[in-house]
Amino acid sequence: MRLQAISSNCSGCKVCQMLCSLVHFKENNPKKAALKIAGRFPAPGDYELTVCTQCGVCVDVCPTGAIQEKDGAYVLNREECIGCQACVEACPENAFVVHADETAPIKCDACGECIKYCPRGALVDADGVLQRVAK
Amino acid sequence: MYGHAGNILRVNLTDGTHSITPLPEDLAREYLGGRGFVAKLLWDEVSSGVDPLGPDNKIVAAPGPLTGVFLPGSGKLHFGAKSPATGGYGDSNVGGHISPEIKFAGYDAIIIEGKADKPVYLFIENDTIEVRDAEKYWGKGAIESETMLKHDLGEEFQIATIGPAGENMVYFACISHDFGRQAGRTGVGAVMGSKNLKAIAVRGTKSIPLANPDAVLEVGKAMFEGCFSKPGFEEWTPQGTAGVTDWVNEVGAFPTHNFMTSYFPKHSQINGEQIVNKLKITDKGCYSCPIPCGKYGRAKTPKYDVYVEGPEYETVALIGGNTEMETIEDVAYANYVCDELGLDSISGGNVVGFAMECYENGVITKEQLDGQELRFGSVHDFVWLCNQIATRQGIGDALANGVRYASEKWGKGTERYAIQVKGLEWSGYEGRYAPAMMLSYMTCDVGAHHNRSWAITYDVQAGREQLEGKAAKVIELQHVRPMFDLLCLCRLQWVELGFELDWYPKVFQAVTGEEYTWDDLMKVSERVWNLTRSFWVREIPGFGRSMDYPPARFSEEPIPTGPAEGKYIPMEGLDQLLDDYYRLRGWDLNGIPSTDKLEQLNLGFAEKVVAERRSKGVAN
Amino acid sequence: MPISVLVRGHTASYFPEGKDELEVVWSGPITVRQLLADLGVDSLLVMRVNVNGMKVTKEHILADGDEVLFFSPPAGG
Repeated sequence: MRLQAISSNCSGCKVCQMLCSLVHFKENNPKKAALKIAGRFPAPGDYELTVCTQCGVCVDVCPTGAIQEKDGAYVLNREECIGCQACVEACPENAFVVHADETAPIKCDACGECIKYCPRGALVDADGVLQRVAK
Repeated sequence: MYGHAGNILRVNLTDGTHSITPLPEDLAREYLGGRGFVAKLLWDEVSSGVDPLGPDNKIVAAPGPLTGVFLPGSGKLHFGAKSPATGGYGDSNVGGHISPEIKFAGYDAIIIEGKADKPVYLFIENDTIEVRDAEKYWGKGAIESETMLKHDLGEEFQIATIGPAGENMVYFACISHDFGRQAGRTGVGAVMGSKNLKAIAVRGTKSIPLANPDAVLEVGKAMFEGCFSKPGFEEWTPQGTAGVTDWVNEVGAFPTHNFMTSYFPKHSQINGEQIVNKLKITDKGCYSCPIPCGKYGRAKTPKYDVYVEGPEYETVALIGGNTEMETIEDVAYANYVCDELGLDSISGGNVVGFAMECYENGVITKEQLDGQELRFGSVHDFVWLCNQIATRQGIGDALANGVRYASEKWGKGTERYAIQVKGLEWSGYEGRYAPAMMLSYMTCDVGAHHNRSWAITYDVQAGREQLEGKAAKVIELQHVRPMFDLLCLCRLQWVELGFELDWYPKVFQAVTGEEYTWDDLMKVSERVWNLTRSFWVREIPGFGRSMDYPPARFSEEPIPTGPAEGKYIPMEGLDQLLDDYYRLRGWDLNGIPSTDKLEQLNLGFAEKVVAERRSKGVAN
Repeated sequence: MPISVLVRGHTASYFPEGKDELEVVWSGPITVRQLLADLGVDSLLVMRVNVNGMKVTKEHILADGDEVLFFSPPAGG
């Protein structure tokens, strides 16, 4: 599974972010989600998504080795993170999310839940395996 | 109760102070949130008889217990105040993202009182509350000032603003948010302006307390799956609400030429397909919406080039049909002008249509307009008049107080075609051949607005000539539809996709931990309906049945053209509808809630005030 | 012949048992308009009709195994 954003499909609903925070933190808080949405209004009048591409650049800069590859995704172990933010600064996509209540930044672990519930097909599996759910 | 953030924020603009107090448990249980909080807090806190545009009126902004939570359509905010347009109960709802943001900042209601001595805006970032100088934003357009504030504060701030119309206290000034969504009705924007409050900017980073996060995740997922699986899920979104334009013409209910008739021959030039083909850039949704109705686009011709959200159906009806615009670009441009000025496009289109008919009839003359004209179909004239209204210049000053005021001032029979009830301009569905829809407008608790009871398909199915049975359906809808406003959810998943209502008690329990059956929720909705009616009784001397009638055009003039040609509902018919309605509601023949009804709904506290008025009204 | 009927939106409540998914069995040719009449639904309630994913008029004649999708008018604004 490779998460891919198609920003032109996004309508800004934040379903992905709510779901992400519920799945990973058991909290309902879009600001604790591992992906970003920015509205660009009035012009050009669209939304821009920022997602982790699992490029792995963050792995090399982490001083504690808290980011490890697991089943094709680079997963941040929040227990081992010291909050130095080296990964946040090194990320070429600017995809890490920082929240004031959390020492560790928030990183996508490619769980794929957001793909299953994006109402708009703005988040897709580049490998075409995961699809939006239906009854 | 879980689901709520747990606090009420009170801001006094007169001295710049604020307080944060716990949300009272009984308020949460008896009134749930949103519209319920608005109604109860206005009843308790706004003294009887205050000037709607004076410092003693208050603005309440309230999300609901489910707002911001992972379920379809949880992004609505309810604003309320004593209405300058009507003098009675006023509220208006807006989507976008600000309502969840208020919850994330920690608040279930914001009460704004007093009046600042210079332009200010309210800054809220979690526990940091500041009344800040707004001199640089004052005078700017509603969307222009939102853009400036986003630039100054950051993208994550959610912002509600008013435009020049709000600053100048136009009775139908709206509150604008998210680049083209509005709490449009009842003049809530004028109340902000009267307090010198240009904007509210909010950012919150907290989580919403949930009774059972696992259950919320599970039910929320099932609800989204339910929406995705509904027949026609994919087909609803492309045109949004404007997709109904042709149909409303087909049934003969489309406001045209200031409601003179109910069919616009050029409707296919301003319908949803035209929006998709000529304007749309993106579907723009509210928070947590799987079927985004917003159509964000660009209207570009040699005369103008603007970005605008919409037009949605109401704007198509009131600007498009009612002032007879012949292209979707002209509708969109007029929509843009209303949005920047901060004028409600429903009342705006209605008021301009009224003025155009006055001009046609010689009540307003070219000389009075310094040579300007007011021709149906002219976007130039439309825009000129909107600017006059928003700045209260010339005839714009009278029109800024709405069609009821202008018609009373100008006389000459204009009252007949001032299309309003209780002082609020009629929205996008003509009622002369739709008795349930007519009754919905007559009895709506903010004036002539469609959204409390949208009954026109019921009229079609049950028989459009028939009056019997219509009141019962209207009452049912007046409890079901505002239930969404109590919870501050969007009702479109239910109405447009047919998403089942029995999901809501389920998700309510997962979020709040409290068990409310559907009947319990309906009871709250009925309680609030009777409380808002009591507010009218309290605030308007002599309030009663006489305030529930439509203008004479609808009871005396047969529709002249189109599929509903020849139809109207004479006074006897209107009286039959009202008699049925009052009886089924447990109100007297003057439309005043009975002692029994108030007590049955735990509204005993309103009985004393209502009883005084009851004895002075028409005998039962 | 069996025809499957789907209804999008609030007018489903006016269809038999208030359902938005129905199986209808009919013998002989029938138009969309006749089908609605048979189901007891005023044809004006249906804003648009798709048959097997294609937009059709209410005079369209239905065939064995067709999937008919009725669209409620949006209750806009």
